[in-house]
Amino acid sequence: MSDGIVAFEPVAAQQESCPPMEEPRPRGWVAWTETPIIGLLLILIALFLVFSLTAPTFLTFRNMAILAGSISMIGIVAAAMTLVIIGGNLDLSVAATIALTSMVVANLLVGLQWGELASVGAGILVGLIVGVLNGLLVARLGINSVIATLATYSIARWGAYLLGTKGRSIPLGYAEERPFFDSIGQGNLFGVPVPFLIMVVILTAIWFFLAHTRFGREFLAVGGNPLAALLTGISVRRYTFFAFTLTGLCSGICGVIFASRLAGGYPGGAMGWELDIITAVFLGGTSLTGGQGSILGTFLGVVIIGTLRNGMALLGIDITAQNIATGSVLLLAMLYDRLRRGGAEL
Amino acid sequence: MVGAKARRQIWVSIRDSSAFGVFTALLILFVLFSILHPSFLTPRNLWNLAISISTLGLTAAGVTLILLVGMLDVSTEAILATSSVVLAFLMTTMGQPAVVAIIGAIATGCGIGAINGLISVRFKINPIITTLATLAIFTGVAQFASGMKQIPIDAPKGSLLWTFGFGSLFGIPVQVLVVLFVYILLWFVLQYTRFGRNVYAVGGNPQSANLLGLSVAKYRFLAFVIMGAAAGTASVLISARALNGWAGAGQGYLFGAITAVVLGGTSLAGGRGGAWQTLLAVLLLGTLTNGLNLLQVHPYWQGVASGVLLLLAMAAELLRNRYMRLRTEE
Repeated sequence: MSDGIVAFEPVAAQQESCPPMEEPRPRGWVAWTETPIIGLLLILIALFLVFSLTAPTFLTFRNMAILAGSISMIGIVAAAMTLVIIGGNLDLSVAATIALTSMVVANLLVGLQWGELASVGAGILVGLIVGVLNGLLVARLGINSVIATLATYSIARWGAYLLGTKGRSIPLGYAEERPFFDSIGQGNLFGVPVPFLIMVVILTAIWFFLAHTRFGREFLAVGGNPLAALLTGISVRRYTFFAFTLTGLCSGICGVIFASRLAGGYPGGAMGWELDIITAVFLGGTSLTGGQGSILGTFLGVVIIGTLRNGMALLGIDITAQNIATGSVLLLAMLYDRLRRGGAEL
Repeated sequence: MVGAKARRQIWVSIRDSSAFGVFTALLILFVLFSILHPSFLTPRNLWNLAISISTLGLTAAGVTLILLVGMLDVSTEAILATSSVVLAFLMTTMGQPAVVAIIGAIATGCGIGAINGLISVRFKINPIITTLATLAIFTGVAQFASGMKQIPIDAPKGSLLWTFGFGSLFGIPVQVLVVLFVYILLWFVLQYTRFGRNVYAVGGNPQSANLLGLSVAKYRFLAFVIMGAAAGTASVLISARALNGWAGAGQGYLFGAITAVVLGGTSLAGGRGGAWQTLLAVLLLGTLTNGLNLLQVHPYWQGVASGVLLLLAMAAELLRNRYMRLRTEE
């Protein structure tokens, strides 16, 4: 009720009624306790403890490598999705884009006998095109992001089915040597899976953008708040377009890794991954209303979701129960965030 | 006598309404498919067409109400799945009569709707995130409870559930009657009751509605519950027709319902739209699917086309908004 009345008061009166300046923001250790990072680390440690005690194969080198690989695919997209969510939007088309990219790459490699580099490049390009399309629809035309990406989701998913004969998947086969392509998803560098390294590079780049460039910092402060953007003179449109394009590009990269790891193109692949990706971002403390977003948080969110799925799979809990758990984690994360800020009407 | 000017104004208001575009498209499709395929305009095919759109129509009625109060619900498919499994479970495993099972299925829908409403309205969590989470949770519950299998329902000819699936009254399928009843009810409530007027007020401008003393939270919560009831009823129709309860019962309905509602001109920002515009759009979508199936267009192409159609519907809405703004500025 009060917002409605305040809006009619003159600006001077508003300034007078402003609360006094807050204390300077704490630095160092105290600042850390105000972020969700500590809480996320504690959850992660608890998960690791529980799973190492209950599943004997959990804390093995082999399983950790599998975990790192599966985390990286989610993480690459989640990094870019963080930017989309800071801007107050959602991208539901990512999973379909991953499947479409994997089908394009497999088609080019097997069907058209393209070279490895060209096929990978074309796959990433497909992701980029979907991202640009999303960006244009949301930022340029102003279409609600959920509806726009639901539409591109449908186009990309059914497009992926159209690429396979009668909607079948395209296995790559092991007859041919594809050293570069195989190493993208399955290779190791200094004992670390290559996809994990790709994820670290992308996470670092987006972290740098948000924390150390003017464009990124301004946007983090303003977020999806149109009034704040108007007052500071930031073009939300330009930023939104950039965020969606980057998400498409990252989905393309993820799709190439997907095709390499699973050695084929799968039109029904990556089904429901958008839930994991969006959950990880929200778990990391990024909010849809802008002003809050942390790449480190997103990374921890991704690791938690990945560990949860990995551990539950090792314990023989089937995928349906895993989905229930992921959905519950998303709800609990949102509820906790709401209670922490004291906005709930209980 | 209506004057020339007044007649022109009426014509302009009809031409500018979204329903006019949908109606024109529907006519064109009917003519086109009648020419392209001989069996399109046969009583048998029209009968099938009417039945095929009834479940989508029911779901879309709920989605219309949700959008009118300025919310969005993406958990539709999970509500359909869970209600369908509950219906089959009550009838087969529990051995309950059909009436109890039908009420149970609709109540399940209401329950999930109430959970959505409680979390997004009371706790003020973004409705899309809330329903995305409940989508995952209740799809999982339905899959888990049914063991990913279809649960066959035994409904002999002439029984209550059979009537819902295959029966007809005065030559009209019962499914169609149910949908017509729901739409007439929705239209009447939105147009002629205090509740309906308040729904438009709450969706159009929540702040003003609040200042006028309307409880925005109450209307939004009720919209979620009614959405759940509509989806629960739709799941009864789906299960009655398939004589099965299964977790995949809702597949594709979210997309279809949202496309229909947006196509009908109901605004995503809330406060604008209505029941019969949605019904026209559902008819258009159903005709399109029916005709393309007759012409043996592959479902994959239809999937791509439905995505493009949703984008076109959104673009049309944007153009309409811009045009209306220009007109009011004149």
